[in-house]
Amino acid sequence: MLLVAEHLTRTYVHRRGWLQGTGAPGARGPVRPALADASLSLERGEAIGVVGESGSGKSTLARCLALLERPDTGRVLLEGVDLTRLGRRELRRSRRRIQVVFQDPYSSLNPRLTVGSALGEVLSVHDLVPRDQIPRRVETLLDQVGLPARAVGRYPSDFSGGQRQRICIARALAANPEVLIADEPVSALDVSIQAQILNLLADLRVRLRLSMIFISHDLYVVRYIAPKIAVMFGGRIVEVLPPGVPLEQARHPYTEALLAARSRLEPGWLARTGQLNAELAAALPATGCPFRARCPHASGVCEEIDPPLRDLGGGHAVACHHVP
Amino acid sequence: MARKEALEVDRLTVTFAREGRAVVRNVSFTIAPGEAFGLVGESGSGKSLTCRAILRLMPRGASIAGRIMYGGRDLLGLSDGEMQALRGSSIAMVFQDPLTALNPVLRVGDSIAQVIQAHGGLGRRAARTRAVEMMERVGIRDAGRRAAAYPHEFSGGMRQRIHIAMALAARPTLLLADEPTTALDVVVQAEILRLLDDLRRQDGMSLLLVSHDFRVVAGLCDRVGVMYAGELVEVGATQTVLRRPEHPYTIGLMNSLPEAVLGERLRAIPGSPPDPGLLPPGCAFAPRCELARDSCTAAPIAMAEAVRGHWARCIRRDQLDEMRRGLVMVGAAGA
Repeated sequence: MLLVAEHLTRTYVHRRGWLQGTGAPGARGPVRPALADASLSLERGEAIGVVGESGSGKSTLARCLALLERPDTGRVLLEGVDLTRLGRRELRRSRRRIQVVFQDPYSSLNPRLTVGSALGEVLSVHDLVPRDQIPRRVETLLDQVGLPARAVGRYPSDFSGGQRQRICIARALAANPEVLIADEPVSALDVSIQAQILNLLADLRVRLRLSMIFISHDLYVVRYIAPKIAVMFGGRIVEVLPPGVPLEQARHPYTEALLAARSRLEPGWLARTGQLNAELAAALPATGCPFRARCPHASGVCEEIDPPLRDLGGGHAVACHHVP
Repeated sequence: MARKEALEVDRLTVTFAREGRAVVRNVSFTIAPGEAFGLVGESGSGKSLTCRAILRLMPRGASIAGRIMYGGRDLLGLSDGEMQALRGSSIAMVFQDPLTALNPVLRVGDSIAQVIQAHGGLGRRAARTRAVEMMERVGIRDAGRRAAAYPHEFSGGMRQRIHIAMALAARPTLLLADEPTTALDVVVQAEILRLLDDLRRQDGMSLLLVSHDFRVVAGLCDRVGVMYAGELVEVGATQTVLRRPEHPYTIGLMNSLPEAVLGERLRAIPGSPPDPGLLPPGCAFAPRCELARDSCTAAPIAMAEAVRGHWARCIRRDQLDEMRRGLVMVGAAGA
């Protein structure tokens, strides 16, 4: 295994506010962690998709995997080395090996650096190529993401959203990573540009044998890149769909709701969507199954016990009391 | 008062003085009473400006030409006062971001009541009662109590519901919705779209829905117009356009959506949308189109009727079959 996450948990504690009485009201009662007991393992060359809505914990998972944030408990093993126990200097060296591409290509590039210096900086910081070979390597990187060599001297503001995302991908690749984490990389882009970036990521994955964690709120976008999918809700991984299992065979009630609510390229699909109840219970229950307030099958046991992720066979795992 | 009125947009052109270029060019369409019409296009295609032009909500430096007929009057010929009287009463609008559309320092009930008082001639108390009724109509439970809360106390989906309650408070006959669900999660998006659809049918309102997402328009709209570089390139019944698109750009937009099938490459449209200042004299899509010939960019291309009521601006329409072959979803939509 290349990257293994074991029982990652991360809770954001609201401390008392700066002004009197502005501390979050929930601080006293039990607080549900943003990420609870999440385990995941990624083989070399494999791609795993992570899907979920805002607040599901998918970005927290990404940040913990890249050690941009330290999990409260649990381990992140990169080729057997626990990254959570590394000191600052060692961690910095390992960080090169896990790179992240973020959602917003506007805020993730320094507006005052040319594309050439943004990429060159990565190469020199990590001492990846001799100084005199930096320009050639930069050119290769630009070519890999489909940007012309003349982009080198330009600034981010000269590029469209899709092109900026290509620059961000090139910058991540510059570090020669073993794992690429893409956190909603196409959500801010127009549909036609989304398709270009998705194709690029799919190509790079094959061509550079990249191992990838691909995060999105769209099940079908995720499946386009990654054969294996983890569905998250309320900080938990609630379902894992292995490569062979079609999305339509998902068993967790939340995954089923995601599929039912999905907009489609069919006239009048909306009229055929059943009751969804997503908003009637906006707050996550503090105990038990995180989905129970929205679940059509919820019963007493769901209030008491947070269901563990259970293998149904063939790697298809579900965290639900009501799936036999 | 006539409740049912048709909207007729006729050769609408929006020009920015500074660039000297039209960003909306000769756009014409009609929306029948009670009909839902969708405008689809990428950012910069002019779809939002077309929508805003109807309320004459224009950025500084923009000038509008053409005609926008509603209720027997040309909206572009009205005085500012007359126009203001229409905004929010006969024609209302829902925006993408409800947080910026709602006043953060007003209790949501008061925001809605303000609209009712401004247009309905009701007193303060009656307006408040009506505001709570409106909140119930958009599916907010315990509305009497929630009316006293502020916008920041609601989730994104709930805020959009309140924004919709505000837009519908004065019982408009035409609702404009500009990307009303783009910022929302998948499940919430479906719920808000359903709400819009239900309310529209109950009130017999006409709807103009603007979205970059063809799927959203497919779920809600009777007819659809596809915009590219400020121009309408295809118009027709949603059903016919989805079954048999007649413009390469429309096909490209549909092909760009990821399929459930693994291993099949997305047929993305190459390149990016053009700069409105650098358009060829003919088809603006030609530089990205695999079917383009010299004749495509030689002279302006007129809309041609493919089948009754289905128009497209393409002179290579007889060559489209190969491009359409990728459209898996349309085949699946048979039921």
